[in-house]
Amino acid sequence: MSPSSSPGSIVAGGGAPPLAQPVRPATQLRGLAGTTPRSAPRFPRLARGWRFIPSPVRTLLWWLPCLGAIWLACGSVTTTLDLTRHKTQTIEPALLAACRQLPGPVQITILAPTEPRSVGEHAFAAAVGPLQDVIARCQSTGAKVTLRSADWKTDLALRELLDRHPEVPVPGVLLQLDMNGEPRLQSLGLADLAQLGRTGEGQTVLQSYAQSALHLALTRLVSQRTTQRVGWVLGSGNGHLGGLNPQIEEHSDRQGGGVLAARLQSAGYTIEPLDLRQPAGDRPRPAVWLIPGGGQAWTPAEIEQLAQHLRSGGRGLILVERRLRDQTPGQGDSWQSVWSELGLRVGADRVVALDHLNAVVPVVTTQPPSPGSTPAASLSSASRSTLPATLRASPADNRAMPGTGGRGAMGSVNVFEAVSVRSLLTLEDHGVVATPLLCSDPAPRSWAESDLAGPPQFDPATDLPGPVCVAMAVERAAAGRHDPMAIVVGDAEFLSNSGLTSPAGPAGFAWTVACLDWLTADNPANSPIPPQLFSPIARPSSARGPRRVLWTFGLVWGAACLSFAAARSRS
Amino acid sequence: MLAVVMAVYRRELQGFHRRPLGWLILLVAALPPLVAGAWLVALSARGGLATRASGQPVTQFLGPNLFLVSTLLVLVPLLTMNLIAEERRRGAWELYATSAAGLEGVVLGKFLAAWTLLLLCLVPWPLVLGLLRVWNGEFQPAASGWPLFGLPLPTGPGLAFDPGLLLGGLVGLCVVGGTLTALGTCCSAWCRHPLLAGLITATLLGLLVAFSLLPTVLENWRIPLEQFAWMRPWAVWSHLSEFSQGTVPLGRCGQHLAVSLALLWLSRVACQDQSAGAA
Repeated sequence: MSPSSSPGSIVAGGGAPPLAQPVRPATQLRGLAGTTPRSAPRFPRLARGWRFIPSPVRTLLWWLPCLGAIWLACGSVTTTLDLTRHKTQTIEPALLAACRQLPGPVQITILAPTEPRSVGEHAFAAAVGPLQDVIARCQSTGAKVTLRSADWKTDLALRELLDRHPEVPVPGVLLQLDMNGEPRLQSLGLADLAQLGRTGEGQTVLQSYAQSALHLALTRLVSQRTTQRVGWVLGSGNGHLGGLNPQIEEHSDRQGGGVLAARLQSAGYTIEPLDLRQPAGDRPRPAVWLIPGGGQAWTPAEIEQLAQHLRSGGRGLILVERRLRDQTPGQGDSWQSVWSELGLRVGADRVVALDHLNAVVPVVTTQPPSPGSTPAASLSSASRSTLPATLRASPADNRAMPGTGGRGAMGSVNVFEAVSVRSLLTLEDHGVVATPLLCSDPAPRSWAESDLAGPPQFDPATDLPGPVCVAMAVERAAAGRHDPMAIVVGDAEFLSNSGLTSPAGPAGFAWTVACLDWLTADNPANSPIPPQLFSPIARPSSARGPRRVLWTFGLVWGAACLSFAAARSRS
Repeated sequence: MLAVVMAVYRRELQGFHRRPLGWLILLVAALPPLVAGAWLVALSARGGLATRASGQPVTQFLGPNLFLVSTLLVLVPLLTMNLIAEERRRGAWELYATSAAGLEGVVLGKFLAAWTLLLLCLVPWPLVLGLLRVWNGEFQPAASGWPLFGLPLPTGPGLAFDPGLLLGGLVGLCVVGGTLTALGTCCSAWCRHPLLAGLITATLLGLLVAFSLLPTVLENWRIPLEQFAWMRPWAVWSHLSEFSQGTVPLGRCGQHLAVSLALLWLSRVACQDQSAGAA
């Protein structure tokens, strides 16, 4: 290319400018800079070489780096306008701040099978979608978060990691951070929320929960907070009747609680033995007490201490063990005062279900938590009819859930080691609100039988027809505010060594951690991130109406185009 | 310069509407959104919600779905191949090259005209989605009121979804459409024959589609996402997905603007170079 290809030469046309051609302003003569007389260049050789480069290339050499710089600068802009009505695409400031304060890259691994086979794995895949959306949004803001999916069945390194950390639920979400050479782990169990994604309201909860759960997990990961103290109540009952004794770690000992204690410590809880036989002044003072086996032979003085703890604003996870209570008849009566104060009635019965696969399952809320509503709604369900199918998978799974430590199917009838926990509705006005957490199927498929010795048979005169509640969350309600008070579970078998080491033990453990999170006010539902309303996409009742819309539009558009074309051709 | 830009812009639009082919393009451009609308209705009526926001049928309607991508793959080369190459082939380009406005104004005016025509052809997409939202397809004769008595009137809203999805998708179509039009303009400027320009534009757009699909394919192969994060800014078609979820990433818009400016500048350089060569 010759130097005559500069804009000035184009105007010149190889000779004199045409008469009709106005003279270009000086600003358009930039291409002739090399021919414009100017002062002596500072670097003559460089200037001569620069002039030798064809003008278009010189222009490109100026402009392309400028545009590249603009492109790179724009790439670093993370501001995003959210046009949705309820700002569902906006990351809440709390999560955004947590993402920006990460000390290093956090790797989030979704532990999901490549090809989900069981109902639970399919449901988990549905529940993890909103979390992936939230993580993608965090990534778009420049957060040092990486996301990958891995199948623990095929990934050997992952299997070794899970063997070292049995508290990590699968399928689940694993967060890893390398803090100055010290690897840190946090996990999220979303399987119990899988049911939510099937409705528009459920999507709202999932969107909210995903942000809250991620925020909570990142906060825990960074601070590696182990300050949540849980007092493991010991007393005279534990001495001779066993109970979930945290000192017993052998898996062969069914009643040992050592596995639970170890896993809770791995999950970030500090377990403090709390012997009620010691003077109160010598004991630690954790806010949350884990009472393993409310049906044990606790002395009245010990039970009075438990009641006093709850009365004075303390919180507790109370496990009622039917088998131990049967061995010591009459001792359970000492608890009546505690149950009365909680607004509950714990039955002297056993839960029977006709179909052991659909026996006792957790129920989760289908309503979004809103300010002022009961926080227990995040653990419970307003509707008992929508039981998540994910946790009805197998008898082994049932063993892992509270209340489902079945003795084995007796034909089509199954007897569970759980007792019924009922709410005394009349006490609602006294500042106590009970929310069911675990329920059995409706009658006639399940019932609570008061005859503990004979073969299970429903007697309408004495038995309680299903759905039978086996776990209740109790809150104090005062001045429109609800505070966690206690969770009463009519079973303790699922947290024993044998229950937790069963194939589906992590499911029961995850549920327990959710309960303890709620009791320690460290629950995603209590996080500073409020729920964001999700506008559900209403489905048309039939495709006929929308198709008529399409046909109408097509006809109008076609007629308009043709008529305009005809009018144009005439003109 | 603005007057020249507007003059070129107006001339291009008038030229498009004067030809029957232009109206035929507008007519045919309504077919893909109608087919995609039928697909959306079928998916919505069948039920089931996608797990990811980007997988929702409504989100995909103005996102990188097969029908919209195919439409753009055809429309962009069709509308841009004649912009400069055809003028040059007919010998009319000398008028522009020797005009007082400079080549920048001419290229900008032609680009704006092609962008407007592209958006005009894409108007049925948001229109169909908006209609499906505001009307359920049922008529009811007006019961009272003299002027409307007996006339069939729409009875109620149809597919309920967040209007932000529609707005975001609209912005995405404008932004991505602008970049693609700039690419077509650049091809038309560098080629001497319109057909060649169209073919090159279509090929480049196809390569962009393949490039946009590559992260998804690699993700399915379990390759860590961070290894191909650098591809995201160049996966143009995937950007439609970001917009159609109801968001407008300002950084992404700036990147598209920078790339469009670079392509237009390349077009201007090509025009200048070829005009000089012809002279």
